[in-house]
This record gives sequence, C-alpha cells and structure tokens, in this order.
Amino acid sequence: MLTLRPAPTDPKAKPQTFKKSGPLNVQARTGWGFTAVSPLSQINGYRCVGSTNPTLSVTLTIPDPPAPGTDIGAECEDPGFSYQYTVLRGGPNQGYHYIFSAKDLSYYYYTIYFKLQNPKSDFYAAQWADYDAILNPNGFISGANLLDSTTRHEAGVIANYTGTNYSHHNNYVQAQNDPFNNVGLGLEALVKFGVDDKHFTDFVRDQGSSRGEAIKAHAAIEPCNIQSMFQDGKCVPQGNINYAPYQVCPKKNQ
Amino acid sequence: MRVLFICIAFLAAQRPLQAQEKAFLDLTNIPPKASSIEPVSHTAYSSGGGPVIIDGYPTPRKPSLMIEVQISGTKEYRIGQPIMYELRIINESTEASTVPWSVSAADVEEAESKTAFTYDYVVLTLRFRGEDGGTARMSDNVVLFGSGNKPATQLILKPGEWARIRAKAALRSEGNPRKPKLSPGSYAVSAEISSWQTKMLKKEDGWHEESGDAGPIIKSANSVLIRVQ
Repeated sequence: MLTLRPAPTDPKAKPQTFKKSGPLNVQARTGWGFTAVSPLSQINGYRCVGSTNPTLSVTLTIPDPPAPGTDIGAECEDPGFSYQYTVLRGGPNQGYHYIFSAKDLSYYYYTIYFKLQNPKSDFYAAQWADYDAILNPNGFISGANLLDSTTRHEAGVIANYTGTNYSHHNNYVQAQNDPFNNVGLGLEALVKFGVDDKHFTDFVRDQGSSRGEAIKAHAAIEPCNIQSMFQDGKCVPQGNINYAPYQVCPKKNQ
Repeated sequence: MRVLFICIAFLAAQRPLQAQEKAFLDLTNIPPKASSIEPVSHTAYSSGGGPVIIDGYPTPRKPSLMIEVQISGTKEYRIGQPIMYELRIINESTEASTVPWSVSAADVEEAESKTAFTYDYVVLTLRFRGEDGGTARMSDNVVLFGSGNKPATQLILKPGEWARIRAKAALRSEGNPRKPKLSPGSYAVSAEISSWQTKMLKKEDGWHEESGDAGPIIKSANSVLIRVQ
C-alpha cells in the first residue's frame, strides 16, 4: 500500500492511497549448504551418540566371530543440526519466524571387524586367496582384498561417481549434495508466519528431519544391491568369505 | 459373610492388573497462560531424525509411549472448520514414563527464583496424508509443558496406563493461515508427539533459550479417514 501526496502546488488536495502489487523475487542467502563429512573409523562397539540427543544413540556392532549373513563392517551417521532463529517484531514481515544461522552437527562413522584389520588373526589368515572366477569359483578371497573391499563398501571415497555401487559413504555424499536433501539449504528457506516459538522449532525439526531421513535412506542403499564386502568397486566378486569354523586351507595341509 | 468377603478378596487378587485411564485433559476449554519471558536469543538443536546404523546390528529403538488418534463427530470438513480430536497416550513399556501435562509455559518457569532452569514440553501434531501422497501438518497450539521441579506439571504413566487429551484444530495447514495447503479430497489423519527440552539461562542482556529434541517422534498407531470439501 502506498500513500502519495499531491504536488506542493495544490496544498488543498488530499493524499490518495494506491494499491501496488507485483511479483517479488526473494534471493536465497548464500553459503548455507552443508558439506558432506568425511568418514571416520571407530572401534567395534562404538556408541554413535545422537548429535543432539543421547537417547537416540545407536551402537556399531560387529559379531565376533562373524557368521554367514552377518556383517564385517558397519557405519552410522546422523544428520543433526543446530540453528538460531528469531521472529520479526516490526516492518512488512512482522510476525515471521526465520533462521539467521545454522550449523551442521552431522557425522559419519564406520567400523571394520577388528580381526580383519589384523593380518596375524585367525580370521584374516583363513582368507586363503584361492578364488578364481572360472577355475575355482568356490574359493576364498584374500585377507588384504577383503579388508580393502569392506573398507571401500562402508567408507570408500571416490570423486565424481554418480552410481550407487561404490560405497555407502559415496551414496551419503550424493544425497547430501542434492539440494532437495541438503539440510542447510532447507533451513535457509524456512519461514513461518503466525506461530509461536515451540511450533516453529517443531516445524523446523519436521522439515530438517525429512531431509535427514532422505539422506540416510540413500546412504543405506547397498552397493551392488547386496552386502558386497567381497566385491570390488565395480561389483566384481573377489572370492568367498571363509567364516568360522574355518575351512582348512588345503595348501597348508600339504 | 466373612467367608464370602474372603472369597471375593481372593478372586480379586487373582485377577491381573487391569490397564486404566490415569488422566484426561480437555484442551478445548483451558486457555493457556502465556510465558512471562521473552528470550533475547533462541538456539535450537535437532537430530535430523537421529543416527542410523547401516550394516552391522541395528539397535532397536522403540518409544515407550504409544498414541492413538480418534476424531469424534463428522468425518466431512471444510477448510477453516474445527476438528475435534482425542489422543490416547499409552505406556506400553515395562517402566513408568513421565509426560508433560500442563498447558501453560508459565507453570514451568522459574524466572523469579533462578537464573537458569530447564523444562520439558511436547508438541501434538495432526498429519494429513492425501490420496496423492501429499502431506500437511497441523498443530494448532497444542503444547504441554512439564518440569521435574514442578511435579504438578507432570503426569506419570505406569505400564499399561494411559491418558487422554481432547483438542480441536482448525482445518488449515500449520503456519500461514492465509494460504491453506489442503485441497478437497480424502485424507488419512494421524497424530504425532515430539518431545523437547528447553534450557533457559539468564545473562546480563536477558534470557537465552536453548531447545533440543528429547526423543524420537512418536507416531500414532492408527489413522482416521476424513473428507475435506
């Protein structure tokens, strides 16, 4: 609404009010996108504490010894965030809540079965490396290869790869970099009119959580569509895993 | 007579403990008392849904409370029309659970006696899921406050006990009342409860508020179908 006064040459004229409307383009503030975090190795049994709430904690657990159907690697992630907000008390946007700063609290932790990381362990030694796709398809992967493949499966980092076969971490990075999922970009745009503080924070939680859940769901896609610790980054099998009780290596018995 | 009384007492003792309603809160006729504090800063934390395990052994995470939603009366509504609904909060765990139970923030504030205090609160929300998969949330100011320092503001639910809350909400999307997002069609209405904890700290320039989510969001086990005209 505009109130215009006539030119000074007509002092008796009354001010007139005009309605003015038109499209308003709002530029998003820059620098709000959260950056994907690097994977960080942790010990078996590590407690992934909820980034904002200890009651939401989960634990990285690898059974000892692992058995067929169980995992030899695991990861946890939490797309938590904090932010500061205010409500405008005056001006044309009076009554609007908005966020003026945000901080990424997310993490990505992973663990590898501890005996797989020890070349002197019975589990590592039981991986004989006698696999051959044609000559011995029932053979076993090597310990070194299984360690590499498992680490890659959980935490492999590769640039400019857009598939979902490389690693859980790669899937996480892709989801995090998607503007539709990025929590920081989502927080930048959030405004609410006519609500109290409690409902604004609950609204922000709902919006942020939906993006966080999307990131977690994409990260959970199994590379090569299976728990591919025995495959390389192109889904090529590297051999079978020798689980306890271990089959004895025929070469060692000779 | 004495034998009859003993027999009745014996039979009563043999019956398993019956689940029961512990409390009922009708929010349709209780005006909340506004907070007396206007914080100079607001900081909030959110877990983004909480950490998740991928591979390995997932840690089961089950809320101790379960909720059911019921909508009384008509199932046909127009935009702007109030919906009367009831939530039943049930403790399905084996341990007692504490629920904030005061409608007023003023009841949990200790600004007169302290320079720092903490309180809990829950936000009750209705979620509408349309036939096209679209969703909308509506909370309409249903917030309950509780503090360990103010026992009267808390409700303790023992295992098997439940509490009921009656509330009403105008049928519009949360936030901007000028732009209702709901369009005509059928909606499955479910309920959610999110838990929060707030820490208030008084500094030279005034009160500073920090809020963080305090548990997983509890979603109702059921939904009610309504039609919006």
